Amino acid sequence: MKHILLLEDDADTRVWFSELLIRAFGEVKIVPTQSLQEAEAAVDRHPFCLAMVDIYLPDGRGIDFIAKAKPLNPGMFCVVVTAFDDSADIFAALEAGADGYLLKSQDKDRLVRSLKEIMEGAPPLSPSIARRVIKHFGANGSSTEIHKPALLTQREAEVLTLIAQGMTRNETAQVLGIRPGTVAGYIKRVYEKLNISSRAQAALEAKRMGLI
Amino acid sequence: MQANKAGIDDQHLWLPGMAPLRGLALTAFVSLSLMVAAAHVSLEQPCLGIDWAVAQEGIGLIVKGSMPTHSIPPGSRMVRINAPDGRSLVLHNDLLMEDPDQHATYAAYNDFFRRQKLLMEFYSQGKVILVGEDGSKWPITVQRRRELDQLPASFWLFNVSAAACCLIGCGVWCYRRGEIMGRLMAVTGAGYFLSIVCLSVYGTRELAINALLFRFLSAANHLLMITWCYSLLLMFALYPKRMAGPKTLALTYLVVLVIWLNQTLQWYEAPIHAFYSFNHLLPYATSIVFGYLQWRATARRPVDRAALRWFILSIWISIGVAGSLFIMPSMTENFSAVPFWMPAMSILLMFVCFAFGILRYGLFNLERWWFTGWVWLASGLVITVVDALLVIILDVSFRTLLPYSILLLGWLYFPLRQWLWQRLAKPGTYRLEHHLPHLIQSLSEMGAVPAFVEGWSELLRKVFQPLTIHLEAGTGRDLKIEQHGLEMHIPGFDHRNCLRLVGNRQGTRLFNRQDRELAGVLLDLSHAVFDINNRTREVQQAGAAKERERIMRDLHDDVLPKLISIKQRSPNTTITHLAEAAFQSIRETIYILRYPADRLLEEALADWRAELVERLNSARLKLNWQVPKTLDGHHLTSRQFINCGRILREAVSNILRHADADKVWIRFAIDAGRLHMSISDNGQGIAPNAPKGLGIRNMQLRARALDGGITWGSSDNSDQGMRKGLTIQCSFPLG
Repeated sequence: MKHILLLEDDADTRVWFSELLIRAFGEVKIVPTQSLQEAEAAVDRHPFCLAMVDIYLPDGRGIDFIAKAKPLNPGMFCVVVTAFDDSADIFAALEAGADGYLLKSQDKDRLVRSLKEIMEGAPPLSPSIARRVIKHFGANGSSTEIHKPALLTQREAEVLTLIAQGMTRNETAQVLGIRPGTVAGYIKRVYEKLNISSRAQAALEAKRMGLI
Repeated sequence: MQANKAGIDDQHLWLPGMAPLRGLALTAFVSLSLMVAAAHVSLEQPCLGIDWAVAQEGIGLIVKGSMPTHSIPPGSRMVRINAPDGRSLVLHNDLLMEDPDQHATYAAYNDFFRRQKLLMEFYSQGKVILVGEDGSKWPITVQRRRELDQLPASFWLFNVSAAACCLIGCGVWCYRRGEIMGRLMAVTGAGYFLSIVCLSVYGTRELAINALLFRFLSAANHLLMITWCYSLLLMFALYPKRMAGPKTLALTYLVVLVIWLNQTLQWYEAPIHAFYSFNHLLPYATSIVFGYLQWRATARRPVDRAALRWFILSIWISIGVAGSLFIMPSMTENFSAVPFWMPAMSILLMFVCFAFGILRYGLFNLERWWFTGWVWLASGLVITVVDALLVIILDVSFRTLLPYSILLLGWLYFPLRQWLWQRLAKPGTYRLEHHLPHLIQSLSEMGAVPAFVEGWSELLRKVFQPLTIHLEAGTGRDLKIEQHGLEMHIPGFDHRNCLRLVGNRQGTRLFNRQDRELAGVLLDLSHAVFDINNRTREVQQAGAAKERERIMRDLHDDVLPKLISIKQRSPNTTITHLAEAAFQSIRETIYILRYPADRLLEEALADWRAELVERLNSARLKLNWQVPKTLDGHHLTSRQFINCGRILREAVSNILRHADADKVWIRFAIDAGRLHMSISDNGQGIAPNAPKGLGIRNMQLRARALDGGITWGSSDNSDQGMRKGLTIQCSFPLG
């Protein structure tokens, strides 16, 4: 049976989220945790296929859990669950290695659909996060030393630009003359590159500080 | 500093513990005592009970009035006075001379005293006989002493006006003890008063007084006259530039003593006038020389020169008037009957001018506050002087005077004096202590640096009433007076700008040392308040940010999850909708708290599009989204972003709920600084008089918050062959 880690400090949210997960995946074993400490202990005990992570927790940020657990469990999908679309928080989660994000306030149907999409490799991307990504990789394609290992391709940049203008995935696909699934693939690659670039940056900083 | 300037140590003051006001009160008390003593001596003199007037011809005195028992008709002219023992004396009109030194020669002066002595010998026999010009004889019994109402009003006028001079002179000294100018003022004022006390005894006699007393008082009067006249001269030599040292001072007073001894012992008779030549004319002429030298010495110091001008004019005009009224006619050997109170008033005017010089020009380094010290004394005296003047001018008795006096004072004098005082002293009415609380408050209320600088200028404007204030770029850190007192430079708060004040008190005065000190105090105070303000604001801002963060955290961590849980778990759609609405409100609140900065309109439109197209597409509606090609970098404030987004969402929600449409047009346009947006659908529309739902009212509120308008109308889709739907049009000013 699949194991799903639920890291959420609010009891009510845990309850309805568990219901949601069961609705989305059917027979799953949900391991509810309330703090980073508990979650880290749980990750050591079981292999998880999915971790639903709240950002603000009593003993720290869920983002830190992702940054720590994701490299050790590459097969574990990490999805950040946040109250609303605060792009600063979400962007930080993506940099830490999150595979997607969900907004708690969305309708349940929408949540189930988004979750499934993430698991299928088609994560969401809002215009504001797209703008942040573009900014992160540098305007008009120019890039600094740090981002070299994860430069955006021309197509990726085009996709991001259209999404930043408020286009949906389908509309973007239409404009670029490609399939929606391909757009989703680009988005997923952007996610990965974001994570790689931020890890490269961390490594570079560690090197500068003499840690490596 | 003052004491050092005068070269005298504060430690060696006479009565070092005496407060200025106490000194003033003491002076007033001594003056009053001397006046009473003078009155007592005057009343102890014998008299005939006749009010005499001078005849135009040399011989004879005219009876202006007499006691009823004498039954002499007024206007009778008496030419001789006979004693019971047969001796006789011609009544020459110089017997009524107020001061015998009006005689230009020692011989005439001595002859006057010979006749005085003779008259007293006649009086001592108890009876005299007056002989009229027609030969009529009037036996008169000599009164042993005079009654109080027989003392002429001029007696009081002399003493009171001179006491006022004494108070002014000693008043300066009380506040500037240890300084040579203060001392000279005291000597001048007191000397003048004492000389007048002597004069008042013999000058107001009926015909004769005790000859020995007369001689003594006349000599004393001379000594005191010479002393104060030469002290006044010394002031010329010392103010504003010190042109004489202590040796010159000592020498001057030695000269005073020599002059006095000379005329008392009658060694050498001066040309022109035995007494006035040395007593008055020589110092007056010398003062012209010193005045000229001082004038030249202050050529480059306008502050000093302005003060000097006032000082010189006060003395020259007053003494000049006194001289031309009295000294000049008497020197021509033509005895004239100019009453002495006229020159006395002129001298009083001089001292009053000194007082106003202090008020306006800071004479003797005193300032306007000096006035408050003795104004209560002086005003009392001035009223008395006015009473005395009324006695003489109206020639009425004290008993009838009182009602007139009160009426005159109440209706004329007090309003006049008040007006005069306002006119003269108005620029000096700024009292720091009165304004201090308001000042600190207004400084505290000022916000950022520009507002603070503005308030600071306003404060300086209020305090100094300058003609103009310029804010100038300058690195000057010093408070300084430039252009010889025309301008004062005050450093700014950021050491980049300084303020230039031009023309103190609307240009009526120059900036002086006191002004600089006051500005310094104000500057220090403002700096302190400025620093406190800044620190307070920093703390407040840090506190506010912290509190904002805390509120945001509480909303985010506590309220939001609960609302979301309600929304997600409740089977009741009404509750779900309410929870959703509450959630949106809180989301917006957190959004504003977290991102208070403006955002690009372009980005806001992209966010809305993504959100709305997703919602509409899920409900299988098509969105036609039109935005201008260029948005010219327009921005929305965070509140505009929230409110405008709310209208859009609400409109789309309404379409999804009620319209039964399959197409939505959302168009944006920018025109004349306004953002226009229209949301149309091809649904069933609404009836013109349909009741307004909560959503519509909500949109109206949001539009009002945007300072804009919103209207509902039918969409005109006829050209597209579709149903008429609803169009919402909203516009609001950007920026």
